[in-house]
Amino acid sequence: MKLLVVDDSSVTRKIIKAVADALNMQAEEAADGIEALEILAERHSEFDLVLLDWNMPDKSGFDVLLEIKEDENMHDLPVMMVTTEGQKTSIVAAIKAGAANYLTKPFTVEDLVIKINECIGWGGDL
Amino acid sequence: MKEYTLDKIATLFSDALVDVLTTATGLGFSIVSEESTIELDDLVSFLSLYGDNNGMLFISANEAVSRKLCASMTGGKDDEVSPDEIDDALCELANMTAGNAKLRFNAAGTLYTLSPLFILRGKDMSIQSKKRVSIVTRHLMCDNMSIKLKVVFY
Repeated sequence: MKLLVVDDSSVTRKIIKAVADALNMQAEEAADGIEALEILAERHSEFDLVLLDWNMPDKSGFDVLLEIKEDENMHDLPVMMVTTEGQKTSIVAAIKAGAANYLTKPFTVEDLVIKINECIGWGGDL
Repeated sequence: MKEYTLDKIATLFSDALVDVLTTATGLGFSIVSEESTIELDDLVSFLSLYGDNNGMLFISANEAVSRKLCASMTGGKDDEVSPDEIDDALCELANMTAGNAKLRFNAAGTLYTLSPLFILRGKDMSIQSKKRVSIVTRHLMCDNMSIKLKVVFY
């Protein structure tokens, strides 16, 4: 299993990567939406799940989600939003746009593991 | 101030910060002081809120506490975190606090948009305004760790 972790916070990327390591998953990092789309354009088939922050410089996570879901090569790739945007309107918009799941910051490690498992049906534990 | 007293705003933001710290770091901070003259520490993360009222949120801690917060967030040791990660952690705490507070305001029908985050490093920093603004502060402690929260509304 391989995750793409997209967040402009290096600390959040580090937290998620540590959880991925503990789950024996690989995790690659992208510091913004543009970098994420560049990675996915070249190697989208490598990834099983994208964890995507919403508020990032240059290109928002929501715009990245829309581009992934509009791309015929990537639209089946599961995307989970991981964001401080916790309003119902944001959650509904992301799910309508094709997000597989939604996790609001701050989250516990347990929350993250449950949500990842829900997305990919992996069933693993720490 | 639309529908809110300053005290209510301060409580809302400090409750948000306590919740965020508990979930993100596992540390149980509580409010120890509500004076209006609390000075900021050497590291300050801040952002603006735009909406029914405009405001700014400042979260401040010294280097040692910020380092410990970062280590608690990442599950690492204090000496394993870099200065950039310390800055990032304090910004992310401000981001999550503002997001949490935004939800609480939203539930009461008040909408806000958040600006990008900024970090200041320095000594003896204070916040001054030429415009008439409302300022509320809270001082939070956990053991010997201190965090200052300041909210400015205008």
